Amino acid sequence: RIYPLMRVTLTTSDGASVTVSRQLTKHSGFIEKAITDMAVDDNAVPLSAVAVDVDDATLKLVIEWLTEHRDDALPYPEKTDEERRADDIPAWDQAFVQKWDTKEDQQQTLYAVITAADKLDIKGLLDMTCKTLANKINGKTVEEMREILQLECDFTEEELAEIRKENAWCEN
Amino acid sequence: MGTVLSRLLLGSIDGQSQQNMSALPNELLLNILTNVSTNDLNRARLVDRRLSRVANSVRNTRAKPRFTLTISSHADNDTLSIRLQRRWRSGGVTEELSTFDMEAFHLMDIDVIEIEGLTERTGSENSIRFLNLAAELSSSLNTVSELRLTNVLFPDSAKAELLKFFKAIVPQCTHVFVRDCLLPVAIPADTIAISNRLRTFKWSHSLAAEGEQEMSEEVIRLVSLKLNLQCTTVELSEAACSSIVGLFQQWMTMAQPTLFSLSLLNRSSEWQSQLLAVCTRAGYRNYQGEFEHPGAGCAHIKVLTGLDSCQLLPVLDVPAKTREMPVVMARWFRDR
Repeated sequence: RIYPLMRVTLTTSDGASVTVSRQLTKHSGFIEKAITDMAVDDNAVPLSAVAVDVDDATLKLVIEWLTEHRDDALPYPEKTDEERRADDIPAWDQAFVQKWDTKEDQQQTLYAVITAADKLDIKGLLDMTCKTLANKINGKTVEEMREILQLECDFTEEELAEIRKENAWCEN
Repeated sequence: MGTVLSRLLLGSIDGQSQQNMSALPNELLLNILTNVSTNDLNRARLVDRRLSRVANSVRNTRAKPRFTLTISSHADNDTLSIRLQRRWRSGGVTEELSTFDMEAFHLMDIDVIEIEGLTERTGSENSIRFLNLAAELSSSLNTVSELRLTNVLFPDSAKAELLKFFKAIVPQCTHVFVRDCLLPVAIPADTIAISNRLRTFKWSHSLAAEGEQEMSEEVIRLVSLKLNLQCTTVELSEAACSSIVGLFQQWMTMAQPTLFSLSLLNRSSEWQSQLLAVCTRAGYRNYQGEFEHPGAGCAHIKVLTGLDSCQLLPVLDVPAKTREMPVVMARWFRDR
């Protein structure tokens, strides 16, 4: 049984610690597992000590998201590939992510949150951030995708031609 | 609070290694790309090698597998075997099922049901059980498009179950093949009448104790109904000369003749010459077994007669070259 008033202290990789209520941490599969399995003292979970490298700034964003979504249904509803759609992100989440979209940042924060959501096993946040990134490349050309994702082309011209030929058969 | 946060944000960028797509593990890339549309996936395959591999695997999971359910008996010990073949676009995997798992049927898109090689012994108990179950599950087996019965012998005791099975499965099928079978009853005519998806119907070298004549009549009626809609391929062992001539005459009155293919097996040479005689008497010009359409000069019905079977198929001749070489014609027909 989870007591909503119970507090959990999380320590990040850069030494800061944050105390939050169990009501928030129950959405994180990792923290719940840490509390129940590892029998941590005084409900203090050192995130760095257990191979989860989450820094303070990212953790703050994660907690901000958790606070908004503290009443979400658990377990997080799994969707089949067919039911998935990238355009159903709630308005609050959209605004939340938009704040990070600055020139200097170049999606650093988005990647950091995706990684943190994955490591802390927060399915809702992971889903939302992955969709956000997917939306960034939806409908873009190959060159635009490379620019957005900051990836270099490592194909030879022949290989590219081969893939284009394959694609020609399955364009809708 | 706001200033503290921004300071920490800056700190994280300076202090941490650069975060970008290439730092993400494959599972996360997969998670991201499952939200991307198929056309965008195709483009993502061109970005770089790693993304291409991940996009490929998303594409493969998206192509839904189809299933072939095969019921057959082992020749050596007469036991029934049930196989389920999962067909991906890339190829198939066959797995052996030990029982008829009701749950499994609900989850899968079974589109081909094959029943083959049932002898009298295995054919009785187990196959009746299967027929019953399949009929019961017809609401969940609503994706079936092909039914193949090969070398099957059902005892007379299976008649009621077989009827139920045909009624549940045949109306959703596009292709029905019955080959070398001995059945207590044929597919009922009223079931054929509501099978509006049917495009291929082959009843070859098979015998039914009853209802075969009615079934054949109904199938031929179905072909004539669909003459101007789609090309139907039909093979029958039992057919009355009069209904074939009826179909023949209907085709001759069409403004724009279309293609179909009708094979009649097990027809004596007397039957065949009778058919030819009736068609000739009806007044159509016959040139080497091809009856000319009265309206469209380049359309014919070719009647191929053989030792104990004959085939009717429309042949449409269209000029392959319009200028200077009017003699070259391309022939369009369906022979299978």
